[in-house]
Amino acid sequence: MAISKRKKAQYRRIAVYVLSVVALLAVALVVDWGRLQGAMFKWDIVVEQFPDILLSAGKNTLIFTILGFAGGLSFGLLFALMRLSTVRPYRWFAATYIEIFRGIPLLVTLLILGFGIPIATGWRWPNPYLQGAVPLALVASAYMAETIRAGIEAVPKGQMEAARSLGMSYSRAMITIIIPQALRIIVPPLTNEFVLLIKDTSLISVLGVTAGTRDLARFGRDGVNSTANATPLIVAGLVYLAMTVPLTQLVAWMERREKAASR
Amino acid sequence: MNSDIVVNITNLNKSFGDNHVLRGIDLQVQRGEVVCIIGPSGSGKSTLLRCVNMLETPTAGTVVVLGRDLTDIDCDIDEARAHIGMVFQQFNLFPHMTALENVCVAQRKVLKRSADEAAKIAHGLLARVGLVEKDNAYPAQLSGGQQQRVAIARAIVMRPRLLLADEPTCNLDSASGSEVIEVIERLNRDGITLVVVTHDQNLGDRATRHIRMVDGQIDSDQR
Repeated sequence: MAISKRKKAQYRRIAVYVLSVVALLAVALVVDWGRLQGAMFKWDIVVEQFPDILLSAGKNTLIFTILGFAGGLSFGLLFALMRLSTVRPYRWFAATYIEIFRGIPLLVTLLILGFGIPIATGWRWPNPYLQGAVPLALVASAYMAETIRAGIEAVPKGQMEAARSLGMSYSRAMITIIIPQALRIIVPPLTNEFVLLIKDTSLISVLGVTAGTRDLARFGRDGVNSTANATPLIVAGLVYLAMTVPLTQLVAWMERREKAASR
Repeated sequence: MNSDIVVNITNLNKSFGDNHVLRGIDLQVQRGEVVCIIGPSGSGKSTLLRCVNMLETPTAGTVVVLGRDLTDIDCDIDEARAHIGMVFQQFNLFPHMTALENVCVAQRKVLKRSADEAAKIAHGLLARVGLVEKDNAYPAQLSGGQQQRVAIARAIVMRPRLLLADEPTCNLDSASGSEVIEVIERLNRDGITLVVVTHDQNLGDRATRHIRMVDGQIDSDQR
């Protein structure tokens, strides 16, 4: 007798569970856990990382992120409005900017602005935080401009028409009516952008930063060099997770709430 | 020019690309009239209405409202629009503001009234359209008829002498529609001229003039 489709699906599910358990057991038996812990999670080195990894490196990562986010949001809003403008040169300028900064890897932008421009012009960055945060903000603004533009376009057209028919100017209607509504729509994607920025700050470590402005990734790397052990990088990774996971969970919660509200 | 003419449209044309929606409309509306525009869908009635406050920019022709030529490049369109109220089929209330704030926002931002003064006037207007104790309700908490009455209060807060309405009762059940029609009638008795696009027989019965549009032209005009 032929097996029914549902029966077949059931067998397949059981097979997947069994295989997963076998694979896990195999890994657990094959790996030399003692050696792995000695090389990657040595407890006395873990303890050694604190409190500097939080008070100095973690703080610096947050400073880079917040500066990058604030700058990215301001310029992103500006470029979003330019993209939506009826003035063609504004649209062209914003579209070109967005294409360029989304098309070049952040690492390359960091090197060009952080090293290239000072070498070419003799000009020096007045502050090591700015040296890392400005390129980050420029790239972030290109991404955020598209997010904000999508948010503004998601506000029904009738809202602008109602505001204009009350005698509000275009900019007044944007500020009072459209942008507050767009912000609600774009808070989840902007929070995701914040998470991306937290991680992207790790690239700033390629710029020669001073001990006081080292970010988490650089702190971990320097720790690896001084201890000849991978533990500092693992700890740095855990600190990143401690920052990003609450935020991604927050986004998931906001999206669930939004879904429930629109039902 | 006769000051009793509220709207004076001459040779109005509007195209969207190849689509010639309005073909040479001439129309005068006198003070105190209730003009009802009817016609099959796609005949250009909404576009005509939206040209009266320049939500659509005419391709050719002139639109003079309350003595101002809105098609003149020197015309301050924001200032002119403040004298023309507009009510929409979808209400278009601002969802992030309460009923009271919806009626306050233009007073605060356009007329620069103080918050207290604006709130007092808004409260009075909401009462006038029959909404009591709904000041702090958000649009989503109101029924369709209540939302449309907030929208009317919002539109008349600028003391317009002309009110445009695009299918104001189309999304309402007949009881809510009747409430809205009552409010509109009362406004007309208070001296506001009305131009209404509608399919609603009930609303049409209250009109003093019926204009029928077909293919972007005025087919008939009966007082």
